[in-house]
Amino acid sequence: MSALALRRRPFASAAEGGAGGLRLGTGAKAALGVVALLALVALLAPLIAPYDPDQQDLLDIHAGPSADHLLGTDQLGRDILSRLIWGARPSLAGPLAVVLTATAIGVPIALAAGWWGGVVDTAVGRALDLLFAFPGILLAVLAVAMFGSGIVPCVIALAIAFVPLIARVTRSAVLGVRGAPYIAAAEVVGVPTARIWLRHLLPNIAPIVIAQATVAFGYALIDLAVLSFLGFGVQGTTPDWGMMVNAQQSIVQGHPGQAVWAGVLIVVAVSAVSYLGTHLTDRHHRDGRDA
Amino acid sequence: MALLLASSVVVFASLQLAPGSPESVLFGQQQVPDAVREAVRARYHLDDPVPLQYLNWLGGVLHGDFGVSIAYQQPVADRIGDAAATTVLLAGYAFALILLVGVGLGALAALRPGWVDGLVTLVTGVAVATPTFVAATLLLSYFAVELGWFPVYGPGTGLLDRLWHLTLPAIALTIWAASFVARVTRAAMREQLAGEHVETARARGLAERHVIRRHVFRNALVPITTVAGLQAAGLIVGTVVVDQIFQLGGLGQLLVTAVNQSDFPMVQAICLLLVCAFVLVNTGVDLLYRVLDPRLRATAGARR
Repeated sequence: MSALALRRRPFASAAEGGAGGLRLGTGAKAALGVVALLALVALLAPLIAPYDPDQQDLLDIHAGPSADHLLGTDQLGRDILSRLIWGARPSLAGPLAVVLTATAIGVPIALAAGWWGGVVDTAVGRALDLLFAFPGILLAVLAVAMFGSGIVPCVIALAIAFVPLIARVTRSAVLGVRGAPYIAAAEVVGVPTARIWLRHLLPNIAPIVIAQATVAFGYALIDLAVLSFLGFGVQGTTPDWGMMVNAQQSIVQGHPGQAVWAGVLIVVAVSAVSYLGTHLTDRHHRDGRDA
Repeated sequence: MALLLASSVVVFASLQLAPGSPESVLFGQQQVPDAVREAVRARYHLDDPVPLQYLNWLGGVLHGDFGVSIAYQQPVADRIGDAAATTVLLAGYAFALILLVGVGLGALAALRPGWVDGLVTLVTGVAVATPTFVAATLLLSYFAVELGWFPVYGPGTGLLDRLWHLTLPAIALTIWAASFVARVTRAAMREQLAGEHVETARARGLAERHVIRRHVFRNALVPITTVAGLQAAGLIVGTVVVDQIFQLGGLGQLLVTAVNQSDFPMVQAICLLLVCAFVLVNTGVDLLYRVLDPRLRATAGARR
């Protein structure tokens, strides 16, 4: 154990965890490519969408795929491709906000619990258990019942529900590093705790936290899509993938086009992200054993 | 138990914090005489201090009294009864399918390496990334609308017809969860198959079927139970979604309607029920471990 800890230089894994030093397998590279492509589509939506996503053409509703509308039009004659492209924005930004917030809350809590242990650890553990007993979607539905529908209450509620997901992994990572000789050495020399956290602890646990956050992103994407689908999340005419799957009227009339495409995009995004997350987690464990 | 109590506080408190008082939801924009307003506040005990309201509510809940629905003007328990029956039936149906398909496919893949294994891995890999609501929508649009094999909406009447109506929703719930179970089953059985105790059993000349049943499957049951328990808990939220899509009139549809109508007693009651179910399933799985793995029983006994 001590040999293992000694050989893992405090900054090494942080450098390897950065995008530049990533050595990924082919599958993971492909997954990363898909994620990057989707992110690019979301960023460049105004440039690449062929139509205004809200532009209606009531004379041309439920049109099949054609040269004008590559994926056809929806029940209001809006271009489905453009709506899918614009829909990438809330569909990806939402889960990102959830994961960033959950990490911002979860990591400090877990650091405190893992570092000081004892009463702090017990209290944090209890609170996380209670939170874990609440399915995320249910918490979001409660939030919507309280504050009304919208993406903001959904994101906040999901972020809170996702805290245990991040915090548990972070805590055990902190415990793993806590006893390492270089941490003990830093403490003996009298390095301030805050500095140890920033310089020695965080860089070492960052890879596993990032891996877990990636996995959580996939869950958050699904949960937010479900909420938008139920009509609690993204509101109004803003296109969102989850909302687009909910085209009951069109489906029953035999025009499942937009629902199918939006569904496919969700599946693609989620599989890419979770593949990446699982790969990062596995690699971390492998590295930990080999080192 | 403490967990249940704490979650009841969360459910109750969250709706207390909600902006807008319950009676304003009931009256909407109408002008009402103060006397009527007072009477309504008295009827729903809105003038009591909040902790007292909570205790009253909790006391009622323990006796099966969830208060009066603001939107329907009926006891919440009356509306919930039927809906809960549909939801429980759907969840049970789906869970049976999940175990059957998941464990079956997983075992098949573990025992037949080669193309069978490859195919199962590929299919479950895609299915595991398909959220239930996407699967449900696709199934609905293809099998119910396009082919007309299944009814599109509604819960049906009578047991057989009801099961018929619930089949497509149950399949929708199965796809994701069963893939998950299949993958874990495959991995767990693979691990056991490679174990020395299996080699020993084979070397002793035990029948292959006996080896698989007693030495491989039995040992793989612990991880399978874990993941099946997770799926059972996940079904609780899953039914909410599927219920809404297929308009089955279960708890999920009731919850979504109640949220949209700001029917707080209803929302409280359904959320509490779902959370309780969630906690009970998780506790049940913990208990099941002890039955499955004598080692866990021993350590638990020693600790006591």
